[in-house]
Amino acid sequence: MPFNSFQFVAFFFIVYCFYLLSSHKWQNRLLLAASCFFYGSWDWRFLFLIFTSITIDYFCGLKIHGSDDENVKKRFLILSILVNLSILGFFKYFNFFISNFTGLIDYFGLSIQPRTLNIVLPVGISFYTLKTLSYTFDVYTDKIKPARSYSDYALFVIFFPLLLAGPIMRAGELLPQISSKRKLRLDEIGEGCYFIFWGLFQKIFIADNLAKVVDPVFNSSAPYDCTKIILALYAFAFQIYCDFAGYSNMARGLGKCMGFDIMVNFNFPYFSTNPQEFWARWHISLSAWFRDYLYIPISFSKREWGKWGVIFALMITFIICGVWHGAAWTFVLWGAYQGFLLVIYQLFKTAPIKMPILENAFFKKIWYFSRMFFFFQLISIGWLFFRVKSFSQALQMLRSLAGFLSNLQFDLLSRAMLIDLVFFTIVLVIVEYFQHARKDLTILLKAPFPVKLFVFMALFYLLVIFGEFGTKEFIYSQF
Amino acid sequence: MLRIFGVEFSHLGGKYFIHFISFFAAVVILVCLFFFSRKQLRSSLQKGISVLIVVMVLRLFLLYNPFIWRFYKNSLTEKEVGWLNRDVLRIEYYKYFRYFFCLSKYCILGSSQVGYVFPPGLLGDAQVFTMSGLSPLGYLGLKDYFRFDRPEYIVLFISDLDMARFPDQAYLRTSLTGGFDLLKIFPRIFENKAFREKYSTKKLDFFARFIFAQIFPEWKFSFVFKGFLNKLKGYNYELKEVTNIELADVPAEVSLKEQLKNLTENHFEEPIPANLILLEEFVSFCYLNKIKVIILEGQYNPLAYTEKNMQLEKSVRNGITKLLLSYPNLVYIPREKLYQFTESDYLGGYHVNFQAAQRFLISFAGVYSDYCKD
Amino acid sequence: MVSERLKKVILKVLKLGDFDLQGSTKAFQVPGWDSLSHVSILSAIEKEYRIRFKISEVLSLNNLEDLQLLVNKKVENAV
Repeated sequence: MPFNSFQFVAFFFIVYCFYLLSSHKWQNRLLLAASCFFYGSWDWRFLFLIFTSITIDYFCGLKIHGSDDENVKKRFLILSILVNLSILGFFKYFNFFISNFTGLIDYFGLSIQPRTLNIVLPVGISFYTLKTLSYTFDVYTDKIKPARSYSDYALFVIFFPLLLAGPIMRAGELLPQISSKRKLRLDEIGEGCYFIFWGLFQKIFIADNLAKVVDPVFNSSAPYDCTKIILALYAFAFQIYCDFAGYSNMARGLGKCMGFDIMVNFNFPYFSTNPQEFWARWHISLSAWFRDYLYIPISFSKREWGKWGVIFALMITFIICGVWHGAAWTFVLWGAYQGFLLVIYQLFKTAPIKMPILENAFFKKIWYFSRMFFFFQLISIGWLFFRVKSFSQALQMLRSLAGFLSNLQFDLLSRAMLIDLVFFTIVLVIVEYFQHARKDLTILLKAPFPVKLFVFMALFYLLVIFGEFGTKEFIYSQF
Repeated sequence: MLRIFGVEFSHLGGKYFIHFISFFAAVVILVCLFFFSRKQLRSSLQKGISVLIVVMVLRLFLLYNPFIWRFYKNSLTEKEVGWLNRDVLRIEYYKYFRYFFCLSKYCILGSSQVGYVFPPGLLGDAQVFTMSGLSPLGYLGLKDYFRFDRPEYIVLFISDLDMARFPDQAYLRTSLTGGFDLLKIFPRIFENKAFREKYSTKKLDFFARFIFAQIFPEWKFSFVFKGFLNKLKGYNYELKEVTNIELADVPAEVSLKEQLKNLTENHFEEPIPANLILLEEFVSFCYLNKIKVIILEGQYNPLAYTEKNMQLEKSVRNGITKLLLSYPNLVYIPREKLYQFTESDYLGGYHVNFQAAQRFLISFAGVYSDYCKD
Repeated sequence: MVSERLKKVILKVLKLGDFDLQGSTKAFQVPGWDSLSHVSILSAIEKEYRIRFKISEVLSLNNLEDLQLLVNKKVENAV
């Protein structure tokens, strides 16, 4: 049951009532049972998979820590990696692999009848796999001690607010919170409710309404109208941001209500002026994972190559990041594009741009906003690769964009799209501008009462009136 | 004749108007009380009351007065809110008036086809009220209006077109109580196994939306505000039409074929028992309020009839005939006793031309005395 | 305790004139020390002390104190 459904509201309400009345030990048991129920509500068979992963990794963690022999440690690490990646690989990439393999065979003139299986992708598998892998790695490098309690470790993996697409928290951050008593303070619960509300607003009001601007363009076929592609890309940039950040905010809020401190997953990414900053602000838990477990090891092992080592590591990391997002070549392309931007940035960032005019505070601001705007265009082009249904669609759209000066036509439909885009994002932009300026996500809670009343009423009514209450899935839940 | 913001003062009245006046008074009293006792109250209580006041004032201004509904009715077109909501707008406005419903001896209720079968200018002492797609649930939504101005007869024109489709919750929007008093009927409807099997997925949705609509009229009437956004945009995605440009003429044969295709596709056996329960509830209400009900067996374009429709027609007829045993105020006139419309009478799938309507009315008048003794 | 020699190497790679590097300092607290420059710093330390780090050792570092201890250990073993 996704977060924006009546069933989930009922589910959380019941769980929370019992949670408030339970002792620490029983709270953990309750959460474990509730999380199993939550996950099982998609398909009870998925529970077998996740518990296989949990059990193997729990076992490996203890063995790795319990042995002093380097080879034994390595063996169990490799076991954990193999099991987790094969499960992920099979469920996510089997059909992709088969169709590409047969395509390749075809190319050589042979032909085989492939058997693409009807494989259902277990919900959240890409996320919890990374979570458990980080656990085994951290135990191996002695960063953390393995969990002694099986139920604590199981809860760490299957904890329902984080299960679908939630921040990929490290064991070092989450396990201690599970094992120790959690304090529930009224103001923390208030903040939690605020994050849940804001997340719902982002998802239901912004993301689902923008989808109506984006989908018609990407579901249609060539020829494409350049203006509409641009508007759809801007809309999609906000759609995917609000969809995902909304979910992360809800996860954070749910956790806060229960006394957990869930990490921030998005830090105003579209205020970035360069790719490095962007990846420090977008999907922080994921980029941190790829940085610590992929980028650093790879770039370290290639450190003799100097700058080329960095470039190599960046491209590999981001291509894998793309592949993680989906089993399609367009995601690979997206990953490569992000890697490419980072490489270019790395190579040119030290080139000094000294302009005396920038000493002036006003022009400094203008310069900052223009860099932000320019970078946003680059990111939006990246989203094109992310959203298209096929390679050929990407090419057709790029072709149309390339000739943009010649076929820029602003017709009635484009005007409607623009009004929708502005209407559904203006609130977000204003709120985030102030949040970013004060570097505080909770400024709305700290405002004086009349302001709070006005803002929350406005948000609430916008949500109730314009919110999309049909169940549109979270984009990232497909991963 | 006093006019306030274009609304005829003397015509205001009725239960809803009284609700409006009391709500308005309550808000004024609450605000005054609040301001006079502000110093004595704890700050958290103050905040709570100010939230309540803001919500009430907004609702009063945006949703609960005749003036704003006149504004909405006049500003929003069908292209911006959809054909059903256009009718809801109309009714919502007239809720504040005394002389709206059935000052006549006969009140003819039905969907848009009824408006063509009983066109204006043809009947003397009868009021015709139509609403696109009106079905038994819709009749129940309107029943409270009959409590004030009771007609002697209510005439319905029912075929499988009305009975063989899932009762759309949207029609409850017209109800003065929001359909709250109808809650007791819904479980009975879902008791029917076939209906439940086919529509069980809609059940939670139906109830959840129902409750949500009662608590949040802002959501119930969200189509008004979405309509204004559509107006601004000049293009309604959901309707896929452009408000500023006239639609090109569609050749008659094409649109007829399309309509006929849609007619049979969306009719099913399963909703019939459910709609019969709703119809019975309406007839029972009329019985208690001493209103006689005449049900004319409905018809639509003969070209559209398939085997499936014949079957469904039989089920509807059987169901209504059963009701005759329990309700002495009910009269059922089968189609054989009335004028049978032919292909050439139809302007489309459902709507007949004026001459055909005349012939129908004459046939109805002919058998009237056989069925209604007054 | 972080040795002057180690501090000099770090500051040289990051092109920082002067920054107070303590044992408790973590990498991200130093301006310019990010994941991209992390490896160059480690590489420079390896060159300076003529030692070789293992990847697992590198991943378990939490702050400069840990780094100093690791360097000391490597230097001892090399001798």
